[in-house]
Amino acid sequence: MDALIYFILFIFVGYISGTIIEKKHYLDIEVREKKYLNLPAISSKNIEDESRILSANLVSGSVVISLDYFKRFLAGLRNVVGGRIHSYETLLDRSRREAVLRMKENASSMNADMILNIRFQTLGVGQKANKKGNIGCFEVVAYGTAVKLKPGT
Amino acid sequence: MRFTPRLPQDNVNVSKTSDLREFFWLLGIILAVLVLVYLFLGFALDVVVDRISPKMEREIGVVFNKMYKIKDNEISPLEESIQKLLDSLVEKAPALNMDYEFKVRVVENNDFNALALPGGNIVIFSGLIKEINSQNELAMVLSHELGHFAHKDHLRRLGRRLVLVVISSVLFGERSSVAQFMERTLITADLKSSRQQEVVADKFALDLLDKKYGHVAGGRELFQLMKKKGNLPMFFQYFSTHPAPEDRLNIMMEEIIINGYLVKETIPLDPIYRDQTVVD
Repeated sequence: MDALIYFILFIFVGYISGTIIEKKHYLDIEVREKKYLNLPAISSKNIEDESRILSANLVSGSVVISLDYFKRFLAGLRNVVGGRIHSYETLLDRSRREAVLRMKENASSMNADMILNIRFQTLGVGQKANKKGNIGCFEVVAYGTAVKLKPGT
Repeated sequence: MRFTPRLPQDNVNVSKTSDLREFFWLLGIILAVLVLVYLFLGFALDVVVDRISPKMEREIGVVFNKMYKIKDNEISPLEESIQKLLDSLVEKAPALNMDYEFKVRVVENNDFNALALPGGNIVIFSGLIKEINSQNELAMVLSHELGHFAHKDHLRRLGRRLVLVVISSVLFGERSSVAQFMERTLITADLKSSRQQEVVADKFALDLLDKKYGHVAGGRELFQLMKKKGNLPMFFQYFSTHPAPEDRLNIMMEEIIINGYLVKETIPLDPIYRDQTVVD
């Protein structure tokens, strides 16, 4: 019985803390996205007129985000019946946007004019820990080419 | 190509559903299905249990003997003394399946507990030996376990536990948090029937005690001891599936009155029970 109470406590704490952190993170993301709105980040490999490019640099942003107990348990239930795992969607959405923002911050520190050829990668971190029943986490990396344009072009 | 800075109006990557609602919905459905399967298998098990041969049961028992490090031929003086008491009780119990060869073993453990293992072994924890005050109380403990053997409760419960572990590990993987949660919930769901088993075993024990001594002194004392130990609902068996000691005491007192059992002086314990605190 004790174990059941601890379990419910874990779920409860996981839910509350997870929700608070998520809300805060989204607010933060929205503010920063507005700030970097004028730095274009696109997935095309090149611009029409290559001669305008003054310099190019690799930029990247990565973020590691952990699951909370509640989200993990909910996903575990989903594993039984199948279907979309909603509880992970917000997590991955936040991670991708955060990674892009960090990449933009990186590019902006180089005074870049735009970022080309953006790519994403996602991978699980601590998968072994995951199997033992511990909380797992994953990393999202965004990378691209930050370019500076020749003045006046 | 012109670049127009603009934030997306909507987030298509995140579903607009409530996590909490999904949580309770899924949990409800899965638990309901599991309880149904579990109950069904439980009934199936009741049919099967009566068909398990003593030989097969002994083979199952080997696993448990290993778990409690029970060796067949090593027996301490304390165990010998308890064994004598047990044998004298078995003689008085015609309802018992005589295919069993009952053996008692004392295991070093501070819990106030005893177990009926498949194959006829009775394990008594040293924590219980330390607490009891009379031979009659010990006889009550042994008779209670014999009661479980008489009704094959030990197999039934073992089987249910097995069913449970199989269901949850097939569904959720071994030792995952979801599996553990489900197991606990299902054990709770089955509390009622196992509590009934305890009460039936208690009645069996009282009857046996009366046959052996001509009175039932020791029964009440044992439950009072259990009540004193208070926080231990776990007594005699694997899980906390027993009714509260107080309820059991009340049921037993009623039983004593209904059957007109006598209560006389208890027989003190042999000094050997106090000297020997460590039993290998």
